[in-house]
Amino acid sequence: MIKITNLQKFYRTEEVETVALNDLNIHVQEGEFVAVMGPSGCGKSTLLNIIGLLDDLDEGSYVFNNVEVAKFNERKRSDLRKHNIGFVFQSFNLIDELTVFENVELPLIYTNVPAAERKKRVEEVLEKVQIMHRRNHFPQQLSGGQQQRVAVARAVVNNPKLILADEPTGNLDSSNGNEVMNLLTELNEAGTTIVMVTHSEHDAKFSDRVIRMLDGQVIMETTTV
Amino acid sequence: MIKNYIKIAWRNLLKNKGYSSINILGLAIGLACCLLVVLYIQDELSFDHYHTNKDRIYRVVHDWKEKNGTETHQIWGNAPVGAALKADFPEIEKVVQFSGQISILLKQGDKAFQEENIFCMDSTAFDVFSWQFIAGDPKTALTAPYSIVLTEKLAKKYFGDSNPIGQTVEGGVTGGRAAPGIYTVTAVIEDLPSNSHFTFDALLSMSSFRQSWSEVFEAWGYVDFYTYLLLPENYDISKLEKQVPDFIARHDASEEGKYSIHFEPMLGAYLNSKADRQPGPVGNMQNIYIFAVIGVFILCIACVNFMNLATSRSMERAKEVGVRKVVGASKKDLIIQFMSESILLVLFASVLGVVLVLCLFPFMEMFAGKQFMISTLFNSTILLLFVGIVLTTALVAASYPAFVLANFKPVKVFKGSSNATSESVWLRKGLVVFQFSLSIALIAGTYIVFSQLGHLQKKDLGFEKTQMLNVDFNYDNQVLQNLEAIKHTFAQQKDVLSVSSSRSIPGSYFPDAGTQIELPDGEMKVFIQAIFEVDVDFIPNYEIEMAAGRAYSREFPVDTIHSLVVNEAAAKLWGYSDPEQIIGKRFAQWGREGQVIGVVKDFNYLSLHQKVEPLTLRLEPRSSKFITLKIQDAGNPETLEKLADIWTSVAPHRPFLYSFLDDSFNRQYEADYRFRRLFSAFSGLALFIASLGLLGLATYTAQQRTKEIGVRKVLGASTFNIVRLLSVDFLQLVTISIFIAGPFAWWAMNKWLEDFAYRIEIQWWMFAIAGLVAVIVALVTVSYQAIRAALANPVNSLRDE
Repeated sequence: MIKITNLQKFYRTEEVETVALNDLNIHVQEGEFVAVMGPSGCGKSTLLNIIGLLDDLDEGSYVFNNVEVAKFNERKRSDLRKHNIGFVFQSFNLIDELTVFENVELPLIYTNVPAAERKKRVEEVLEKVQIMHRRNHFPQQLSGGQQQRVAVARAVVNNPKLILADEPTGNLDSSNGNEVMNLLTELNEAGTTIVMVTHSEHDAKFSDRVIRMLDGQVIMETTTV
Repeated sequence: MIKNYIKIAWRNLLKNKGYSSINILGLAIGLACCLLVVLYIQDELSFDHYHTNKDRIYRVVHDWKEKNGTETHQIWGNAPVGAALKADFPEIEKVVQFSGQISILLKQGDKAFQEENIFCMDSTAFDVFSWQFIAGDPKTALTAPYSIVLTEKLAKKYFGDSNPIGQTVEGGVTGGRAAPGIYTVTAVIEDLPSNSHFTFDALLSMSSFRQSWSEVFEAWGYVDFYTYLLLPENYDISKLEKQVPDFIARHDASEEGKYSIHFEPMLGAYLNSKADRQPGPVGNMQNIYIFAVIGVFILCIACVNFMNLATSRSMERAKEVGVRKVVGASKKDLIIQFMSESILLVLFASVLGVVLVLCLFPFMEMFAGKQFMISTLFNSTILLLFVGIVLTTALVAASYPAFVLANFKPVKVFKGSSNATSESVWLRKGLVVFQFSLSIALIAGTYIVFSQLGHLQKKDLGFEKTQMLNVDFNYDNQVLQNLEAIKHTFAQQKDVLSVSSSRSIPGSYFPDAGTQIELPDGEMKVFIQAIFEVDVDFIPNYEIEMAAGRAYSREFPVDTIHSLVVNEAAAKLWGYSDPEQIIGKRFAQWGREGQVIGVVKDFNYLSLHQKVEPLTLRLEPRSSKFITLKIQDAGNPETLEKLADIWTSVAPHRPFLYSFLDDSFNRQYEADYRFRRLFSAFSGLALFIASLGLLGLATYTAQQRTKEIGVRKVLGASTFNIVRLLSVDFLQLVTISIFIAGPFAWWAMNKWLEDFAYRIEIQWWMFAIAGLVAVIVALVTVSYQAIRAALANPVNSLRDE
């Protein structure tokens, strides 16, 4: 599903050019659950953003679902993104002015799903993450764990093929963290591909494969079974 | 989707109440000002459009050209031109003539008032002009001698609710038009619309004038008539103008080739006519431009506010933008979202703006000298214009923030890196400079307007202006017969210092006269110039100084018919730069011959918009209209009461109509004072809106720099240091604005000042003062936020890292 070859990514400021990702190659099969690990600054998040088409790459090739997307413009990328990819962030990134229901509904709005269908799907997914009873609350009225469950609900409501999770448990205590990990595992078992960046060896154990990175390069890949 | 946008827009509005109200209020005031300006201009442009024949009415402009090149053009001219035009040019469908404005004492039963706004008019009036009849027949209303057509206002005043048609009023003298007599009311018409280039309270039939004094209707040299023509549809006026030279020659009307006429469309009468002696007050195209520019300025300032606040707040919306993009929003979606949000704000603002305008209507009379009705607002042109303005504002104000926000990169947003790119900071600063430049230009303008009008007040006019009480007896025959005795009775009073009588007083109506005076080379040369008919006491009573020769005196009986006093400008006109030289020269004027005996120093008998023009002072007490009393203790009501009592005893048939010279003289500047009020109100509002924007901006800057402020305080910065840190940026911007505003305001205000013959010089420090005002306002606005930020506990700001 994801085939990245010879990826180069630089960050330029006025004086310095920093190499974020250096000649990186990654393959992710459909239905896989991959964890990306490594110390701060090794480029994991950059990689995730590139996979999620939030950031562009400087050199190399990125084939998503058999389509070369490295040179896609903003409009095409956003189109591809909204139909295929869901995101879960460490800091949840819910919109404060919208209720739980409205936050989850948002991706469906942008894919022009009719209102009745939206209501049905949002309720289904809220049921699934067990947050239905708080559907009319605003994010700030929820605990961190609840917020992340809403974020996961939002990521999956559009039935994406791929979920990208950036340290999804980073801001959660262990029991809330486990809940979220179980949720992701369930999704993976239902066929969704997951790429997750994490610092936690514990969380990494939920995955099929761990990619370890250092200084913008993959240094080791291990299969966890 | 739109529902979602409106929902989030609404929640954002409520969440940031302060921000929203600053934004909406600023924009509402801007839109309200703009709407008022539109109303004002629309009214100015609507003058005389209510006449059905508006495009077909032209009027005669009388031109005089001297050999030395000086030209005069005036609307007021002779009578025979009207009949001659009608006879010679069959294409002229109607000619209507009316006299100069008449003051007349009207009596009905025990009611007696002096009416000041009356004309004698031809019976063709209602074929040409569209004035609405309430009663009477337009065809015959002004036919018979001693007919009077009343406006509704006057009909009510004299006849109350009873039917005035067929009833009579007694009319007094008319200043050389119709002789006193009994007028029969033949018609009542609606009061004239205020957007007429001349108005009146009643019309007398021209035949009353003709019957009293027929010879002036044949005299090409006698000036007392306005001539209007009704021409066929789409008539090319140049066809008529080409035939004017032959026409003038045929009627032998030109005095030595100096006199001619041309035509002017009535629709240009109010705003575009350059001619003198108009039948009513004229507008000023330049003021329309000035207010149009001010309206656009204020709206720009409000828009800039809006843009500035919206973009500076974008940091807060950054996360939302990021999230929306991640879940699939395209740039277009986001632009639409933020646009609709801004448009919602603009709509709120425009509703509030209309409410503001309605609240301001009662004050428009004072500010603009116009009365607006609510119905004025629901005129299709106005509505269309307003909708246009609102839409433009919405697009201009909304598009920039929308594009800025929509361009945010989610990756950067989530990383928390600042979105304040150097471009957007520069732009924001540029916008503040733009706003303050406009505000400072307006403040400087206001200051200059105030200085100039103050200058008019302080300027030595060359005559005594204070404590001068003018009693207007309107050429009344009985008063004139006893004039010396009445003057003497007044002079006996201990509060009365001196007394004089005259036909004209400074700042009011005066006639022109053709006067011949001997040139240095001995030739008798005629010029038409202003004439004051005065008594022996006029010059000393007004304390007008002599430049050469002597004033009129009772000791010289010859003065009564063989002497003439002129002013310095007149001496120059006849070629005597040294006033002494004209003394003893021969003169001939209105049937009188003799010698020039004195030259008065130029005094400003006209408003200070104009230079002192050549003037002769003719000794002719029997033509008087006013008695002027120089009194002490003018503020004392007892003095006035006593004078009124004396008046009633000497002229029981006349009301005691008086005015103080300084008041009546200042009435000439009413338009200027109105301009000042309007200008300063607009400038104040502009500054207020700009400060609102600055307040909003300062608030957000302080918020953005909370962490920096916290760190600085931990490292030992004092409150003062912090306040300075936050204020100095804004002050720099305001300072730059001063230098941008200066040249622009200097240029514009110089243009305005050109309209005054006596004007102040614009000084550099006037801009410094305007700048200082802006700096103080900016400082007060910004420092409130700065002090708050500086006083905050640093732990609070550093904790949420």
